[in-house]
Amino acid sequence: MLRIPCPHCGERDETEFHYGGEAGVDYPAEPAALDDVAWAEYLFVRADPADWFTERWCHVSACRQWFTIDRHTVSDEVRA
Amino acid sequence: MKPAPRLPEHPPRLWKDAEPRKAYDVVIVGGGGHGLATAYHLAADHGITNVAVVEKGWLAGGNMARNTTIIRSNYLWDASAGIYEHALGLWETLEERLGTTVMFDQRGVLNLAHNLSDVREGKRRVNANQLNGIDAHWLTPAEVGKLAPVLDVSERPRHPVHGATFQPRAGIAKHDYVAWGYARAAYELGVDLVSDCEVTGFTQTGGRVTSVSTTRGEISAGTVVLCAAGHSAVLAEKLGVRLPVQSHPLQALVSELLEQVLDTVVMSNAVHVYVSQAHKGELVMGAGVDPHIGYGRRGSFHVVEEQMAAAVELFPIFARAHVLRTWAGIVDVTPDASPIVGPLDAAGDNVWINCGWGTGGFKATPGIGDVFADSVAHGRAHDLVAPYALERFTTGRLIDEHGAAAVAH
Amino acid sequence: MTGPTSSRLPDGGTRVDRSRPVTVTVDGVELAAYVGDTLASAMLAGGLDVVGAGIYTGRPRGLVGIGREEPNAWVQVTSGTGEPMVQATTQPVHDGLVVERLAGRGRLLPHTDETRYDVLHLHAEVVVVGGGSAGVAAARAAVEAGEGRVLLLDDAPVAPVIDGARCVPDTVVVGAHAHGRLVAVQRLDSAEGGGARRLLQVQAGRVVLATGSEERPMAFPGNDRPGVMLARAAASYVERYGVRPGSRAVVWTAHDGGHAAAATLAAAGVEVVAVLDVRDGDVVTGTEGGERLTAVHTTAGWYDADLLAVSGAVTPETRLWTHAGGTTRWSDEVAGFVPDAPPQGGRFSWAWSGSTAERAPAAWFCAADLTDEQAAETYLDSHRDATLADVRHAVEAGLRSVEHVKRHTTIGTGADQGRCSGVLTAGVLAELLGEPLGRVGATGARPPLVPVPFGLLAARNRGVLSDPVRVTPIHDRVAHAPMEDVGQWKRPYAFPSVDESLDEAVVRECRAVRTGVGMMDASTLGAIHLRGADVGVLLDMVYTNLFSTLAVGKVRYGVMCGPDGMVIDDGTTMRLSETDWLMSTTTGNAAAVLDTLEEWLLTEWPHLDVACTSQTDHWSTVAIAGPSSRDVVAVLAPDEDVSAEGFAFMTHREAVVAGMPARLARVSFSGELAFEVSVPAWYGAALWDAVAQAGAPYGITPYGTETMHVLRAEKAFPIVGQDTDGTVTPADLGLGWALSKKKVDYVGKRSHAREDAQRPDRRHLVGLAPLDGASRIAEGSQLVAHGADLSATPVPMLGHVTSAYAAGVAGPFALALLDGGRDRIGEVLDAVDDLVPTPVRVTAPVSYDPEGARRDGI
Repeated sequence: MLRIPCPHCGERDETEFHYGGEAGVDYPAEPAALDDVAWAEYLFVRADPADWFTERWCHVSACRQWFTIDRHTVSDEVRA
Repeated sequence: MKPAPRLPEHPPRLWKDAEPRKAYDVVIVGGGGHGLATAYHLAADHGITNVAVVEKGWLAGGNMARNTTIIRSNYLWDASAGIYEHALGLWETLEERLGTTVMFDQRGVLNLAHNLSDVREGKRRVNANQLNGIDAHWLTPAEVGKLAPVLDVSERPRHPVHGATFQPRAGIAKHDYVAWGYARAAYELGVDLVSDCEVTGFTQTGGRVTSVSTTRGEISAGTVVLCAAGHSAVLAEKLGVRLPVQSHPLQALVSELLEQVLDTVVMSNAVHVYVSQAHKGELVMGAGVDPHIGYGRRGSFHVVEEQMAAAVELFPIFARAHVLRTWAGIVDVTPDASPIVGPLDAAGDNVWINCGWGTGGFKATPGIGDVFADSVAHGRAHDLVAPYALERFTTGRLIDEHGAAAVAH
Repeated sequence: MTGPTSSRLPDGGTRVDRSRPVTVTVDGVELAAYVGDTLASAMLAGGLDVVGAGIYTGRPRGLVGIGREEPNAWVQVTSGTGEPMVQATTQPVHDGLVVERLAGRGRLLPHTDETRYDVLHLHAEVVVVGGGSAGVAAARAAVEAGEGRVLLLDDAPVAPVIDGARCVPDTVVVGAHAHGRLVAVQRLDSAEGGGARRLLQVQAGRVVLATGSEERPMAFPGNDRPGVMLARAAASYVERYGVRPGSRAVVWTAHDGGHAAAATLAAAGVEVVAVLDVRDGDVVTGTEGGERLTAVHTTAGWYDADLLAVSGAVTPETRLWTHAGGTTRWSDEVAGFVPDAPPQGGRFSWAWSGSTAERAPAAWFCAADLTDEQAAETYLDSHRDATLADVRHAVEAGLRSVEHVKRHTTIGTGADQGRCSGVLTAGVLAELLGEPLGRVGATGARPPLVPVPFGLLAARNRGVLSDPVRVTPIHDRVAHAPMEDVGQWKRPYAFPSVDESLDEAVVRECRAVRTGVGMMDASTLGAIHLRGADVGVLLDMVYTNLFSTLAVGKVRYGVMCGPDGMVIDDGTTMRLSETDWLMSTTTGNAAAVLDTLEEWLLTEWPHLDVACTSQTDHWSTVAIAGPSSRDVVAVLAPDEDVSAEGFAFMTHREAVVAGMPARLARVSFSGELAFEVSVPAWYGAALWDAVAQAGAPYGITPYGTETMHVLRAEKAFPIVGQDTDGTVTPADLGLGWALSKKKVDYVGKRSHAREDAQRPDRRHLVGLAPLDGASRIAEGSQLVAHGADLSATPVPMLGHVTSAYAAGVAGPFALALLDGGRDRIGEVLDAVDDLVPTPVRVTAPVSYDPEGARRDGI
């Protein structure tokens, strides 16, 4: 059971949260301007490091806010 | 206090770890089932024996050692049916081929339907299977109950069994026997098996990868083949390629040894339960994939608790069995739940990749070993491999097994 | 009954209450015991030398240990609810306990286990695992430092008492997980029996693992004979239970602790005939005996003895440390693995009171030149019946990794988790390979620490509690109907009368809606209230068609896609005011759609002024459909103008319906004139009754989900999740009209421009009619060329049947997704189900009232 530090509610069990994958992947400003390769990159390609990873979580069972944390994908250590 | 029958013995000689040499025609990165099977077929079918399999840990110690050994080919889409049915055909003759026992036991696999939506999906898949020449049929709840008497098929408010698809030729095998059978056969054909040898980087020159840097030295390679499952994204990153693959923990567990009560495999995607009773008598169960990515080979225990709740619902007599040991593997999952197999042109024109099998890797082992080796040997994708090219994510021509097999164990 | 036997000492035993005798039955033999005994101490006291048998060899096996390390004493509990593979050394006795001894394998009992297991959640700043001296010291220190709540979990039946700390006895921590989460099993009222246990979920700020020591044997030929025990365990039977484990003992040790054990045994009246020490070069070379040891062969001579007490080392128990992600290293000083790098995150530390003073270098098997015969009777794992010979075979086969050897020999995979065998085998392997043990390493420990029943982990999540059952406020009125599970909801499938089949009921209900009027509970559809100045902007992005132009009082149908362009939901949205909108979603997707909307709003478009509120549970909704629906609504809402001109299609209004505040909408999922009435949820049953009463003169007919499906299928309204499967675009469904060309962007638009989305031969939604006009088409049928040879596999498949119904207005019909389907209308194909072809003609998807003439009534 990961403990996820919600910036609004404090540290809670991961079962209260919804995972959102890699953070910082913005919806393109002009999708129509992207070629198929760049669009596929946006749709499907996400970082998958065995390292520190900045990821999104949503506290769905409480404040329902989205936020990002840094988690080490090997040790599961978390930094808010 | 009746003694139990022993498992078959392993061959007296398996393989000897090799010291890596300076250069090979083919360097296969990843000594799991797919890497070993690919090496074996390169040597056995294509006469390419100057091959090294480099493994960062112990041979076949990743998902090969951690999966729940279910083998089936009853997939929905033609491309999936093609590769998995090819594999199933090879499973049926694998013992003769390798000359060692693999304990492939065709006890059949049930995929349960718990609501009308599951029924529709199941019948659609059965019909597709039959037209693809795959043995599959639909069973009523009563027929399901006959095959698996310990399964509760009574009407009840939650997760009632409305029927199931059944593939009689499906079953289980003993994973170590399989992996070691391939390792032994490859070793006898002259393949170097190098364990404790982690790849730390690649040298790319002139549009090719010329050598592989490892913790046991630099190795020149004519062709580089990546078979690294959950570590594929990390390796590809070293080659400057980003893959649409994410590595997630997938947990499984076994019970203590119990007298046989279940002689078929039962899967339920809806409640993330898949269970068989292995040859020794332990219940082997898999859980759902943890949602977050992770390389720690540790999943969250609440996933196991949820799985136990579902298991006891389906099999009330399991309430008294004990969880003896849980563990996690790292599964590499693609956006369409289908693998990526083919040339990795972006990394170099002598690089091949085979990854993204998610939960389907073990059952595909003989099939992918055969056609991937064929592809590498001939420098073009085999027909069964062609649909799995990385380019499909750009064109949008996905092979979406999510709908039919979101938990495609 | 065997009375108190000579093995039970006249007094002593810290754990037994001699004033409370109990009787347990082992394989039909009644044994006298006391409250506080374990099944193992009761068997030992009762003179049962054989506590189990080798799983493969059938060799008789005796007690080796006193706790979790015991490899041999596994029983099937047959009293009470029963339980397989219970470890006798950790099972408290209670009156009436009946067990059978096992050969390493249990059996599941056919009757249902009705035991209800609870979960207790505990939170503490400091959790100490272990109530020994190190644990007590750690807990005291935490209390003194004022660290907050201090919780100590102890597996002993009596926990220490520490002022300021909560100490819980009889509790085994079975898993130590990331972020300070512990999972534990607490045994309740063990003396009373019944095996009551509960699961503890413990969240710790920090954890001190003070899990004590474990004792390790040494390997020698004939070491599996009953009477060969761990030395410290043998002594502890005297101390804890007042039971003498033998009468003539040889003690063989590699460290000073063995000498202390010898003294304890001697003080209890055991004749200790020899105390041998590896450090003096003394080695046991063999044993004699049948169901009990009779003699011990050593390099110092041979001895008559019925007890051989062995101790190779006493080392820290590190399993929970490794569960949590800590590493271990080999310590020559301790002759064992000790904690090394702590788990990441700083939540775990460990404490151990063992000293290194009494230790000696590790002793493995003490005669490397054992013959093959001797090696074959030198058991490294008696639970798995695996010997030194097996390890030699694995090494000869080429294996060098301890993980490979474990798998080859199955050593350490048993229910005892290899406590006696793990390090011993690693040591033996190191010796065989000529490598230092630190390099060979040991196999990792994985949770749980001890086997835990499935039912205990399932806890309360069984039966109806395994997954919530959702019903609407109208449910009582429709509960007599057969139900369909839709997500977590129970919805009536149809309302057959007593002499009607389901199919007949559906036909009748369809006819009622097409010719008269029907009513259905539509409350399960998701309702999301959207408020803010920018709702129109949001909807323009998440729906493929234009929404910002929707006027107040109007309703519009929308299709929602993922960024990959595939349909994820559809439904109607009504504009309540300039700033208030109400979106309806499919029943199964309500929560997911809300999540999606909020994700877009919070992560991509936080500048938009929109707030989303789930209102699914706020409203009870009854759909009134059919040509006579206007008459019924006119009765229900006499103040409203419900004429075609006065109440136009796809509009809504606030109204009083049967005296209740309501929202009335003219939407139709059947193609007929239809209204939807929504009232605050608590009026649901009253609304249902009012509609039934007002409709009675018109023969209003309740209908279920299947009728709804038939009616909508005739109009080719797709059901997301049934006619789509995550690979279907709006254009595939024939909803190209809903793809806005005007909008610069909507979610999915870029994907719709990709090569594959533009293929003319994509699978399109079409209709199918049986060629003979009568055959039923099966859902899930695959479509192939007409007359195709079905035995010539693979048979090319052109599509599949997504929805099929026996009785549309023109007989059986179906919807299908078909390759290039819109260009195949009129073609004949075979719909194949279970290899039986049904010839079908491809039709336009809409099979009923394609002109839409009926939506305003007839």
